[in-house]
Amino acid sequence: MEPFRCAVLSVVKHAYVPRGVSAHPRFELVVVADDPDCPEWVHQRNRQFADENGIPYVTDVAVALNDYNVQVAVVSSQAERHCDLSIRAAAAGKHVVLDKPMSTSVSECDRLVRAVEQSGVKCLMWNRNFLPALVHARELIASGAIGQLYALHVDFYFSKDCGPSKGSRGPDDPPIDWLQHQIAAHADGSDGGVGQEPMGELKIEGIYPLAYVRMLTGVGVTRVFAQTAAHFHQVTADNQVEDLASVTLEMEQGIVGSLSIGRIGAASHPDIGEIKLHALGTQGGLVVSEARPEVAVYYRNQPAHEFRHRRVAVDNDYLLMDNLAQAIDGDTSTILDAHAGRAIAATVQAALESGRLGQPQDVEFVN
Amino acid sequence: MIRLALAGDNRFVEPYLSVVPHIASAQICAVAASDASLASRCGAQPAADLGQLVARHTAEWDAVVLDATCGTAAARQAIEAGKHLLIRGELQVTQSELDALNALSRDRDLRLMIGCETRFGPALQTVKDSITSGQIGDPGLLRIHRWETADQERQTLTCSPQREIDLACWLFDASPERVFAVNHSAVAPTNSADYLQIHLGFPQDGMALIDISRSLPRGDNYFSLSVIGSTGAAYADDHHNTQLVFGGGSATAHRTTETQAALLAQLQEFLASIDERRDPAASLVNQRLVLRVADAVTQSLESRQAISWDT
Repeated sequence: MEPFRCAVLSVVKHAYVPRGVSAHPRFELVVVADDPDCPEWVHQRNRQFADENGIPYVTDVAVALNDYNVQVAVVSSQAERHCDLSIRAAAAGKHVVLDKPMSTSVSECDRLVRAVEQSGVKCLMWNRNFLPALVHARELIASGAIGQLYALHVDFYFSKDCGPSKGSRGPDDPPIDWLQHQIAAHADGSDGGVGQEPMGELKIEGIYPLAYVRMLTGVGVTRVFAQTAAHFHQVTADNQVEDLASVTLEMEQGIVGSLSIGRIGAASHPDIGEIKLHALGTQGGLVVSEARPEVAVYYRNQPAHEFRHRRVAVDNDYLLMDNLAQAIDGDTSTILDAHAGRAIAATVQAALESGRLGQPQDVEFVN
Repeated sequence: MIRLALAGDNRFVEPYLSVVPHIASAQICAVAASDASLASRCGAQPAADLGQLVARHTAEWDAVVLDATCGTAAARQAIEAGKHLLIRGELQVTQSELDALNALSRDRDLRLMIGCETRFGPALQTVKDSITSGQIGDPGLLRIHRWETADQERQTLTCSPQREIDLACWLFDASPERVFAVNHSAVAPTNSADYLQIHLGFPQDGMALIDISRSLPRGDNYFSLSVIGSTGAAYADDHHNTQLVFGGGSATAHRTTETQAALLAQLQEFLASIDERRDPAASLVNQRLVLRVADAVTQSLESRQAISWDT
């Protein structure tokens, strides 16, 4: 079976998405492309990735989509360009693998949903739903181990730093420029928010835990109440976005839940962060550590930045791409498609509005 | 030596028989419980209830540890008998009843302490120390999960948030400015919620998110508390503190308990407040605040809106 040929449309962040795509033998990266008027730092990163993978880099997205016999576009640009590049790919009849967030704008998400529907292509939002602990949780809930699920909580804390700590800016110092900070953060891979538009943790990372919620409950979020804060980092305070949020989720079928999310600083956990799921059903409860299975490794002079706990048996990348392959072959939906991505973006938007207003907000819900 | 009386059901009284001997300055002198053997085990005077304790043995004890389920009438009875009073548990009381108990105890120069022992446990004391020491910086987010079994014996399925509200106010050392709550009936009758979820907003953008469930089947409960601060975090999670038992089939997880340590620390604080003639930690001020916030939770549930006020 011939592999699906993939065009990587911009790869400015740490390249986990295109690398994840190429982890499956049915997908082959064949070209990197971007618009010619991108800043030079974007071209540099695109070129570097292309060189590392021995594939060409072209400064013409249309050429990449039309002249390289690709079937799939992999979009990993700045967040504000995700939808535009994806829509162009869909309009060209290419299936889309899209990095998170779907967009910083729900209206852009709507455009992508329409484009995907009109073209009949498949869309996969990158996610972590195939991590072994999530697979296990799904099996347990589906088996009825806790009865009928009625509450689901996700605590999703990344113990990563994000520049100087809040309160460290001197009275004469200028505010930290968001884009420049994100460009510099590429060195340690903490540049998930790269782009012109500042983004808080709900926009940058919220899709991961909200995708867990969507998968495990099978329903949509209808109403939220949120509290948000720039609690840890000067860059988030300077750019009026949150690095800490707590959200109550009211869902269809009376299911309730919550999301607690934050970029809490490297000192706040022995590894990448405390990420846990708590599920309650009519006949029991379930507590799941997302990181497991893991192995703890400690040694003399171990660098402080090195995680002590190492995740093992992680097959998320392969399983995601296998899910896409099956969706293409069988004309089914992916595990996190454009509709789901749009629903999550709407939930995030409502949560941010709730945090701003101090009152619950209905989610602009489209099932 | 402070002479103690214990009053409550057998489950309430029994742990104190092993806790009190840790304290050199206290002795159990009277026990009001349905199981008379509890009194004889510690050489104390038995009584059927607090009323009988007051009527027959009042000269033989100075202070009483009272089960909160005995209610405010029993609390008033103890104070009117001239006894220092520790009410352990979640007391169902109104603000005016609380103020009346307070006035009564102050008139008689008696110590009155109300609340659960939870905050006195070594795990939560460690969390509190990490905050007060400055190690984890300004607390930003407090996350609590408390899951319990439906207590069929007591016929109480409704979730009371008093304990968690107290913890939140204690750890933030502040009063919340905003409250939002939702509830759910999982296994309870539809007119009775056995699940409660509360958001509290504290000054300087502090926040607490608490979920309380009483829908677990008979067996173990679960408790998890974490505080994310500006420079660190503390995690007190039952998930971390379980041991595995392999007895055929899937392994079972058993929590290594710290309950007795919490009871001991609470009792020591109560006794110290008597000895030092001061208000105890977890005092009436705390309880008044807890009740005010609990009222706001009820308002939020009814209105489906967040309730705010200036502190």
